[in-house]
Amino acid sequence: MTRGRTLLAWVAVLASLLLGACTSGSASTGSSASSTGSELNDRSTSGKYAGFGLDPAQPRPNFVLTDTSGQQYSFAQLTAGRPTFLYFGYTHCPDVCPTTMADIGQALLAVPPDVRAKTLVVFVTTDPAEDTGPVIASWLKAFSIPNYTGFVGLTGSQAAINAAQAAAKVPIATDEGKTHSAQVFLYGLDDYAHVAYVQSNNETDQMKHDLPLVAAGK
Amino acid sequence: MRRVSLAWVLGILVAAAGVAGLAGGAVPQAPATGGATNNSPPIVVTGAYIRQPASPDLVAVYFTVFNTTAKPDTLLSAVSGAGAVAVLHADPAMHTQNGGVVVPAHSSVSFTPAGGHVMIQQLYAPLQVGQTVNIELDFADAGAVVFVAPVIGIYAPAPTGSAASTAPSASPSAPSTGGTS
Repeated sequence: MTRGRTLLAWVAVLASLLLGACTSGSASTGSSASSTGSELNDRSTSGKYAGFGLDPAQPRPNFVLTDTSGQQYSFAQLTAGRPTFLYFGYTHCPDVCPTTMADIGQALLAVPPDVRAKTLVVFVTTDPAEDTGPVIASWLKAFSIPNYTGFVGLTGSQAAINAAQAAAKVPIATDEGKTHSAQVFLYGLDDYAHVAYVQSNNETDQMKHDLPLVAAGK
Repeated sequence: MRRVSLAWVLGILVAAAGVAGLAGGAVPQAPATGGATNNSPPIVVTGAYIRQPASPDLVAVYFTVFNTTAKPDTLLSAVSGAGAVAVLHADPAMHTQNGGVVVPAHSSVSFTPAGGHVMIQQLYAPLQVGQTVNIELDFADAGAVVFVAPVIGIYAPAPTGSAASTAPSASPSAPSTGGTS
């Protein structure tokens, strides 16, 4: 209804966010330097994204796994044209995996509902021996957001999981899935990921900055 | 009090050269430090919290420890009131710290997401938002340091203070009880 006004408001928010990013990025002699977290991820990138830019952009990978209800899930087909976070991890993980999912969820909560509704979050287990469909479903339920149905949990044979990681160009997880890539890809409307994230103390801020851009095809 | 019989303490000696009273390290309760410092808090803990776990049987505890003394101390192990096993992880790859984690004199070490934590396994019961969990950290010098970590919601902001890098900041929900009288 008041689409124009909402858009204006959002542009204002974005502008302030961008300003914030620019300020902290250029204040190399100021007091902005954070002493914690990943330096790679804490610095402002020079491009329009707050996460780290992928160069070149990575195409939406093509792999087929099984979702938590036991249905075949063809990632490239079923996520095509939608903003999509892709993350590999395992549920029996105390630290990085749930923190990363919580960071993604907090970003979803922070963006406008229409952006959130378009967005998918696909979690692929690196530990298919433990992470059956019901186990992943229960784990994802902890992150549930009211009126949001975009969380997808995938498992499959070890070979299929490895193939998915290879297709997404992340290192194949080792140590029964416990040593895995911490990278979160964000694929856009053009079916490329131009930006990605790793766990840090400002991951949510980066995601909530970038997601509306990506959802708008920018 | 410089007699140290256990071989595994050698690794700590390397990191904390010259520290006296290590014999107390394996025995919580009564810090065996030689000095008359028992009335001051040797180790202050701030910003402690537990994010409600998505997994049913394990969880991470985050906190910052500040060593108020003039000597390095070494965090050796942890005990929890919420589960059967507590393991000290000082990096995201979750390598167990067999030699402990050195906390330099007048300095702090933060255990933050992707940067280390105490992992509690085999939880006695599911953790509920709003409850607290008792944690004991065992230091080579300071002995047992007990604190309380609140369980926060999965999307709740982390308490401030957990990222403190130089000094403990005010953290009303996580008072330290380490060795204070």
